Amino acid sequence: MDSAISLRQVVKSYRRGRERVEVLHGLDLDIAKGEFVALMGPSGSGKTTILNLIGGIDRADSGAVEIAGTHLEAMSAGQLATWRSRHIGFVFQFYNLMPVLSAAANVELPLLLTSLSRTERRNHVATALKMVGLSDRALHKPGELSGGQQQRVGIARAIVTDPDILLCDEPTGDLDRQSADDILGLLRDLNRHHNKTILMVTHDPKAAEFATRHVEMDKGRLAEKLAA
Amino acid sequence: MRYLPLIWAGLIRRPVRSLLTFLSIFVAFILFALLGGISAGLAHVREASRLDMLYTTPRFGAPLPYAYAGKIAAVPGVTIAAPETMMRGYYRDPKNPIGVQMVRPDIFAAHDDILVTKAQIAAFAANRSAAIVGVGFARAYGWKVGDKVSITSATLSANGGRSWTFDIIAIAQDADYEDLPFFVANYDYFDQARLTDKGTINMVSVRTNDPTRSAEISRAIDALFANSPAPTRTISEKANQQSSTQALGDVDVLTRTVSSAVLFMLLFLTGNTMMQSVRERIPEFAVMRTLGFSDAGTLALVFAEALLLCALAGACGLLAAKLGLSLVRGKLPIGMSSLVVFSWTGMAIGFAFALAVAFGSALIPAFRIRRMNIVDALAGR
Repeated sequence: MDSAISLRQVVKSYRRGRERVEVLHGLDLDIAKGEFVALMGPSGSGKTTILNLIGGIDRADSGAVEIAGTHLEAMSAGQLATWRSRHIGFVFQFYNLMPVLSAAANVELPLLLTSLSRTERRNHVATALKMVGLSDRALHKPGELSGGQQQRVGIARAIVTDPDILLCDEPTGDLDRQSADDILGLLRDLNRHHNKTILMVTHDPKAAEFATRHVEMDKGRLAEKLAA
Repeated sequence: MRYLPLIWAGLIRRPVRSLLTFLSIFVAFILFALLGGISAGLAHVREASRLDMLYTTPRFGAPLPYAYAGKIAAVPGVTIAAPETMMRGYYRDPKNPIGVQMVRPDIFAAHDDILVTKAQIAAFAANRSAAIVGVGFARAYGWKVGDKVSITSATLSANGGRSWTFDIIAIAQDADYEDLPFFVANYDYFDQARLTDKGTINMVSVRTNDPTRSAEISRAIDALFANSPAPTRTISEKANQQSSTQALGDVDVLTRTVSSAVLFMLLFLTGNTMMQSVRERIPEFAVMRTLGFSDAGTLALVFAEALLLCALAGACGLLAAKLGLSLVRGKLPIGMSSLVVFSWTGMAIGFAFALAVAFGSALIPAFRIRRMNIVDALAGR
């Protein structure tokens, strides 16, 4: 298997007040390139923590986090930031768009970190917005868009740098069924037709049906099963 | 430039708050520029005063005999001793007071900072009722060369009149103060025409050949007349200016204190605005860090935002003060505008203060961003 994501014996704990709570207890996880994995489990089981570790915005206490051959535990904060901007696309539950920027400007944000010219950035943004079906809303502010449309902008922002991996933290958690299905269909298209490796945290079994593999988490450990 | 829209977006997020902060900085820098201008003007007064120029005046108030000027000229080290006396009066209305300095032509050699030509001095010497006036008076009263001007004075003329008429033969400028108001006329004409105090003077302007010996020469002059009925008091122009600007010196301290207070107030005000702005956007900064913005990059955005706000408002305030003063300069009391100096160097210093306020106000918010944990910030903790 050509591994995109590999976690070995990962331990992660957080300090909650005076207590130290271990969230992940020596977790092993492999995700192949081009997989669409739904990560499910009860609240507090460590799903988002896994996403944060893979995305390089948090560090494991011990163990190895290897993404497409790169060991994250050895990288500095600056190196991780650069690496994230090139290899990872994030999709958040509450979209996390900049309210004063237009949809196009929000999508352009990750491109500001590249050496692309203004024209090239505009072309990339136009392509990303076209892929999510929002070309006609490029100049709208997030407040002028529906929840589903905002999440599409969020996805466009995640894919505009053409990353290898998309990390989605409950991307449909704030949407109605129809909008959720549209977003999930979009993610499935990105997985199938653009070969994006997707790891999606969700509580919703219907959302998980769009994935090619389900991974169940329970109390910081895996209880994996194949998607139907 | 590519980050400018992002920086601008941070400022227009709360437009009213940003506008009010902008106006506060704008007004504060107008005040700062005015106070700085006054401070620079006072410094200019001190710098422009000379050590090789001495003034000999009556020690006890009674006027000095005219002959003193010749005796002073004979003191070793003295190059020029120009006698003069002051006639106080007003032009048309007592609200327009004027002191007419009655001088001999050699005064222009002593006061070479008054910019007059040899031809003008010759014309002054040739015409007994000639007068040379400063730009300040000419502007204030609309005088021009060739005008006859009547000054009303308490000094009576030989025929009992109080009106003294002069012919303006030149309008001159002082080298140090553009609009210095002065009015000089012929001593001989005045002395012959006045009813009382004939043959007396109020002051002798003395130039020396060695500024380092001014104190010694002053003592020598005063020693000459120590036992006479009209003893003298001689001091250098510098000492005279220091003495007469002592009260202004206190104003200088006051302006500097108020300027400092204004800057500190600005620092707290802008710092508070930046704190609020950053606090509200912690999740947004966390998202930016998640997208790949570096620690330094996000800090730079916070500093750039504060810089843009302070630099823009500060520059506008400084320019508004400079422009405003140039517009009202003609309406200020005579000679006042020379006391406010707005040099480009002063403007640059003001702008540097604006940048310093920006930097200072962004420090604490930047520290907060620096300490931000992305995971906690994304989770709203």
